[in-house]
Amino acid sequence: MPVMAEPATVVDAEPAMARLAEPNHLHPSSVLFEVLSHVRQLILPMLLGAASAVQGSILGGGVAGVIFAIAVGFTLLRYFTLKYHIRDEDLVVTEGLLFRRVRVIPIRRIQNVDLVQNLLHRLFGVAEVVIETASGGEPEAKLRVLRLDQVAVLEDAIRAVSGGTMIPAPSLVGSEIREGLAGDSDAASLVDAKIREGLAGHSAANEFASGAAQPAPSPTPQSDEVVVHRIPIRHLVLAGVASNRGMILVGMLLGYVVQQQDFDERFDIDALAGYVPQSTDWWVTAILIAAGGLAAIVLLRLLGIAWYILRFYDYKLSRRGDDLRVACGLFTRVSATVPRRRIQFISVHRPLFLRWMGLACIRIETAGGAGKGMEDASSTISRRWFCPVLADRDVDRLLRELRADAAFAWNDLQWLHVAPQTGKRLTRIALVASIVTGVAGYWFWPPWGWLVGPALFPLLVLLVWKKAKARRLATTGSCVLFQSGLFTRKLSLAFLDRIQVLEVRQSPFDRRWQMASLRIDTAAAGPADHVIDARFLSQGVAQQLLEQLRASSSLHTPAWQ
Amino acid sequence: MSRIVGAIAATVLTILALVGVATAWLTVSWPLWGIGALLCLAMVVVAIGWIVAWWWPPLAFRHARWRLDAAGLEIYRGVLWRHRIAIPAHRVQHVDVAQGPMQRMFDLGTLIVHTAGTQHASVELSGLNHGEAMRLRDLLIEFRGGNDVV
Repeated sequence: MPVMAEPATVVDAEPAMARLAEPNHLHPSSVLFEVLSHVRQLILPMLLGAASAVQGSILGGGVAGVIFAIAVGFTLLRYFTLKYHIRDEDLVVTEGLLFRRVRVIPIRRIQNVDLVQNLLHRLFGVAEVVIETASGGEPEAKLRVLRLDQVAVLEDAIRAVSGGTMIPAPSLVGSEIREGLAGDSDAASLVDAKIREGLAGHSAANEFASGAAQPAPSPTPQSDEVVVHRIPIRHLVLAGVASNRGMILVGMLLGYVVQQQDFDERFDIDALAGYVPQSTDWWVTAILIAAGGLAAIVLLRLLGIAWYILRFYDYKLSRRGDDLRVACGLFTRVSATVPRRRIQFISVHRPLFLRWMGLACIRIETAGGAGKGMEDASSTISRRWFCPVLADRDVDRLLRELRADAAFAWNDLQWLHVAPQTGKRLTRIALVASIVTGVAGYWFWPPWGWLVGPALFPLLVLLVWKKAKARRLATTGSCVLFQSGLFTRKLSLAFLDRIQVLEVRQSPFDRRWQMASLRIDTAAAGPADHVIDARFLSQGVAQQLLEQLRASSSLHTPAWQ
Repeated sequence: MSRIVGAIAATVLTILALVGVATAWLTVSWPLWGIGALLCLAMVVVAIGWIVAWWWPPLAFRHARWRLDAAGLEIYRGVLWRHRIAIPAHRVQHVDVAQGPMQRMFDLGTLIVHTAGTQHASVELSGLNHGEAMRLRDLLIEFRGGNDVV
């Protein structure tokens, strides 16, 4: 298995900076990958064109050819116009011929630098670089593709700049984008001048900030890489068995089948029933159906295992100074770098099956970045699947790696539970729900349908009770822990210096039961899939907690110690 | 107690809107006997609207409070669903003061505090005296200091 060449070779910061002071092009093979990605998008029209070309129509073939030529042309244009370099403390990416775009990304603002390498990339020794800041939406810059040593140089330069003083400038989250129509050179130089002006103002602000703030102890930027965690294949297999990833594939397949028109004509149930052998003995049929079901389940689990291994083969979490780096993948290698101080939120998930096997997974969130809809491979790894599976006993160690103050004496934590009257309230809700289902049942199956309601009642009560009991909250000197979930148990940590907004919310029902819910909002964008919303707390407890957290979190200045 | 004026302004606005809706409803509907029923309905709606418009703002006003201390900004609001929102000091990203035409008439303003949070990316505090909103904004910006949040 060829392992991705580690761009961690220590390069002196000075030559790196020198090399990046001049505008750099992407790697020439970029053209190939850009064209390939265009082709992937245009595959349908091109196939159509090709098909009609085969049938003898010159027009179709011509259209396909033109589309291809346009794709290549645009890519070449992009390749020759896109340049990046580092000026002062900013990464500058220029692109475009008619509409010139100059993107200035202050290096201190960079949240993470991710690399993606699929098989073809590896063949060429190149990687796709994705640079993100805290501004939401899409990544700030995508450099597709750079040679690995170019990547190393870029990373070292970034580390050299951001490794100095850790307290960043005030204003300007994210990057500045300036667009100008630079048809003639005059306009171009005007734009350039404007940018220089903006830069001058910005660096002045920088100086002001670093002058005002006390110099923070600089973490040694060039320190060695320490491997924190590796995932053995055994764990990946177990996680694959426990997960329902295979179901997603099945869902996609089903969706495809249903989307095909005339579904009923081609795929009616009678035809399906025809596949089940008609036997005179009912038990033979039963066994066959059971065997089929079992085979389907086994297949699903196998798919799950395959997914996990494809994604996380050779998973390695390492730390270098203040940066955490995750690298994994069987064919497509993904490597994501997350500075420790950027972590906003940590969540430990323990789905039912994983819990039974003594495993857990850890998700982290940094600010900004793509929402759920626009995730790409690298952000998926670095946030949603930070550590997809690890043994329970390793959780503590890993948490401490993520944040020095995330060390807990689990047995000494003072857990706050839901208010005592919650049981009564939930029982009443369950009663109402079962009456409603009873009435609905009577409506649909007139004589005895109402029995559904009473049958459901004890189940519902049990479920809501257990769910309520699973909710608990604790505070330590530096962090709030919140746990919820009956089947998938999620434990989230919100650090006091990362709390953005606190809220106590009371619905009219809450007030009637003298309860309230406490919500804690952080800058986490959501991929950790857990929100701190402690419902059913006693009114007094919630208010007191808010008071306490408000006071203590305002004392914690957000700067990383 | 200039914020009571805000309550009155809101009342006037609600009534105007309701009357507008009721008349629009009447002109659009064609059925013969239906107009009578619709009229009754509209009257009921308007009556409820009047009552709500008359009673709601003072209620909302009574439950809306804010305070600013060393720990940050705290806002209470809501009549049925009660909210108590606390923004710790230093977590403020930026602050807007907005003023609609009606608010301008009564010299009121809405303070909008933006944080880096996700569900509460912005928190509104309406019905402030415009001057007071501006003063509060300056205070919050001062609070924010030179520190960085994310």
